Amino acid sequence: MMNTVERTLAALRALPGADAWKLVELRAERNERYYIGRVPETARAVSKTDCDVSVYVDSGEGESRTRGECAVKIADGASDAEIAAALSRAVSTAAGMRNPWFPLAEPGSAAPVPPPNPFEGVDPAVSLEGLRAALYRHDGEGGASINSLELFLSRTATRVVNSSGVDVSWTAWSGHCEFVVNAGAGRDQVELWTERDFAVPDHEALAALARARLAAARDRLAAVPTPDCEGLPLVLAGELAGEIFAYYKANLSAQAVYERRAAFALGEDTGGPGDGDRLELEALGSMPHAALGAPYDADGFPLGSARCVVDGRVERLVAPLKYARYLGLEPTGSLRLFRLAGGRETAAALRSRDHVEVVDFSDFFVDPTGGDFGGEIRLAYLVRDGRRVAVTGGSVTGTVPANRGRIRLSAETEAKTLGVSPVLCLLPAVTVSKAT
Amino acid sequence: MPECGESRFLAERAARLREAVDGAGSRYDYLSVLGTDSTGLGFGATPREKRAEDSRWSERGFVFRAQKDGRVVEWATSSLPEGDLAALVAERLDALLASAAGARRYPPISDEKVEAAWRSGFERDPFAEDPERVLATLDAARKAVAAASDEIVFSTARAEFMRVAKLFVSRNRTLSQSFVWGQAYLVAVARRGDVTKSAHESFSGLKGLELLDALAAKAAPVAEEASALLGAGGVEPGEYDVILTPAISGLLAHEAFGHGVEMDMFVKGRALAAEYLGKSVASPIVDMYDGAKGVDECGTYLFDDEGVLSTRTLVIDRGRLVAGLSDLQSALALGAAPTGNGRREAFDHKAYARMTNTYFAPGTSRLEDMVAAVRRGWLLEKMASGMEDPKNWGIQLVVSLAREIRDGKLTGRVAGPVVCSGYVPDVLSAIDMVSSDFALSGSGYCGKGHKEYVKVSAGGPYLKTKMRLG
Repeated sequence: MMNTVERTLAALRALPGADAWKLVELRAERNERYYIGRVPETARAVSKTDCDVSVYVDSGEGESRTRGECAVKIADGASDAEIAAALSRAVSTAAGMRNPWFPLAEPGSAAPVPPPNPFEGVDPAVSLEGLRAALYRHDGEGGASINSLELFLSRTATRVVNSSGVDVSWTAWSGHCEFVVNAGAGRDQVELWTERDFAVPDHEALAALARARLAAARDRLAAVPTPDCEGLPLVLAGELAGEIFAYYKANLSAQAVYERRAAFALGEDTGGPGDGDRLELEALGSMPHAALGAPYDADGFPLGSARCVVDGRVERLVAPLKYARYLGLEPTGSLRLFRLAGGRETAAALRSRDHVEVVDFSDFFVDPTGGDFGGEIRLAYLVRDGRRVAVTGGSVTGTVPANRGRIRLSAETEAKTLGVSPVLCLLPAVTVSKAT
Repeated sequence: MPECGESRFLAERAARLREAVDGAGSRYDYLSVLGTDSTGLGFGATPREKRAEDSRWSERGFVFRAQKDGRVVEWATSSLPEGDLAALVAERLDALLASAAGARRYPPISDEKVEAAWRSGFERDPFAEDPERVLATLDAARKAVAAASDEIVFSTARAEFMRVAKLFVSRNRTLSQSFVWGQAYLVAVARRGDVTKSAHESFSGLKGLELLDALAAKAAPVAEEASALLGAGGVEPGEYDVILTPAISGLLAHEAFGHGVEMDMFVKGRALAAEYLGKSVASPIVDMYDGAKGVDECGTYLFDDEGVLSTRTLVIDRGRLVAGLSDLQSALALGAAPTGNGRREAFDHKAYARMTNTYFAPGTSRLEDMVAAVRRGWLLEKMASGMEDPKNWGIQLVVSLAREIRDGKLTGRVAGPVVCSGYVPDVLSAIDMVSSDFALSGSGYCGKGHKEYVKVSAGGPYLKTKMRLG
């Protein structure tokens, strides 16, 4: 008996009323381990197949040609009648819409084949134990310890098929860890929460991450309330230094430009007259370390890279097929990762001036539309007059536009969840509120 | 009022699931299965496109849970394998038990006999409606937003309707539920020079298409709010008297003592609240509840994702912390009665102790009296986000729109975003006025950390307290 995806494909190939279609199959096997302290809490396993179908119905001709689209989910194990009903509903819904026409991906050049993943061929239980051991390597150092850990390891086979003849597939591994570290005891005990996605078993990186967080927890334990920091610039480190650029990434999207809500236009200078570093930002489909990477996007379009910002100026937009067509651009596909080049000064030089360096917010927010950012400080370092003091409490608020042309980036870069970006980012125009 | 129909898919498999549980059940101290068949529709209208798609919350699958010698494991699958289901399930669960040899041992899971079913009602069926008509309603509301101000550069209206169906089978329990929830949003993006701001209004409930009836009236206020934010400044950092709207009250309840009393945090030693049970943590005029039972919003259900019937938990009773919210495993570990708060993002996710509908109870004050009582402060009106800190009782609320109050009157000055922070017991103990209003909002979702999203609602009355704003 054919599986759900094969039966859906057969139904799509004979579907009356549809001018085009696309199917995305995700077949995932996931293993999960949960720990409280060092004791396993529970183990879980998941076998799951998703089948997402888009159906397109065209109207009109020439310049007035339109395309309606409806996306439906076909449940794993759906009956033939359920598949037929879902596809029929998709056709009738798509027929009622008149969006500007756009093409589907065409068969053509294949994306580069990713190198074999080290997780492949290894019993997931063995891989998970290796990851766990790495994360616990420095447990207990200096009196700080891991309170709890959740570990996930997934193998996902993806296939994209469309009515134009595209039929591409690939397999990817992704891991996720979430852990809490404690320092101190009793009511004085403090905690810090951490999560990280990864695509390869980099035990050294995970051990270093856990070690750094244990040290940060010890610093939070010793931290004093954040004092008045008026006039001091904000330095963001680690993942935070990459997250601030979510604003740029969101505004370099062809969809945002098409919808007229983007802050930047092609050719525009993202900087200005300030003395900040000129941005160099490249969008990419995949990077060896990044769990978000893929050789193709959900359209089946092969992903490469696009230099979006060159010497501070917007040269290209991240343009999936639909919005590339709408704006008359060369498509890039849906590139989800980015590489932000380092700036002129080293991290040590940036850290040598008076500043507040936040390493942990309660919840750092960046509004991708307006560029507002901020959060309550859980752990920061106040560097003033040559002294470095751990502080906690208070909050940071600011906007990216107010810092336009004035942002300084460290020369050194590092791998992060969203790609590669500078180790540090310095924003001069912020408000740091003291703790009560 | 029409009633949400049962899932034919689950009904057709009920006997096979019962057979598997009974067949493999003798191998374990406890065995259960939760089957889910939830389908949803999403609609969106933007100035240049209309979209229709199945909701991201749509799911169909099964999760089997076994307990043996105290250890608990789960296997989730999106389709039931052909053949001897009991044997196949046992094969997967036995493998997991073997890999969890050193795992924590919990007391036996209680499995008292319960048979119950629930179906919600709604006025107009979103699944029977012509999608073109839904999109036309949304587009009209979106256009009204755009027409309200020349500064609006983008507007969108979205709606989503879910039909949730679940079947739970254990040795002694057969539970089923089917209900519909809906949510909708109006969003305006305004621009002046290089300043861009957005505003939104949300709508939610155990409702069908009738939910959309409220959109048109909110179009102009959303546009006005986005335009007002273009001229908004920051708040001079400091501690202020603040009045929280029901939306912000709900955010406070959710972040302050919602996450803080999730009892899986007690088991991990991550919740300071565990040490304060029975002690004062808030002003004596404060009562706070959580419950999937007792109110109708997006966090309402008959039974949770572990087959525990829903309850209504009084968390804070006249300022005293009296109870927490538990999933099954945390209740077992702590020797507490489960409260029906074991929830999963989807069938393939683990169950955790999660909130449902979380709210402060109304009091007796009037909003105008509360405003009149503020000499220098802010009305915190619209929420953006929040984050808990159950271990150290810090709190972060991000408010997208605040209105200044001086000498008992609103001045017309607005600020946003505003980061509100404080020490939870200080903020709750400073509550000195509670209004008689009551409203819940369930258009958002709640994460555990930054994952495991579930639908919840939160709300309550207007509250007057003190917070640090920055």
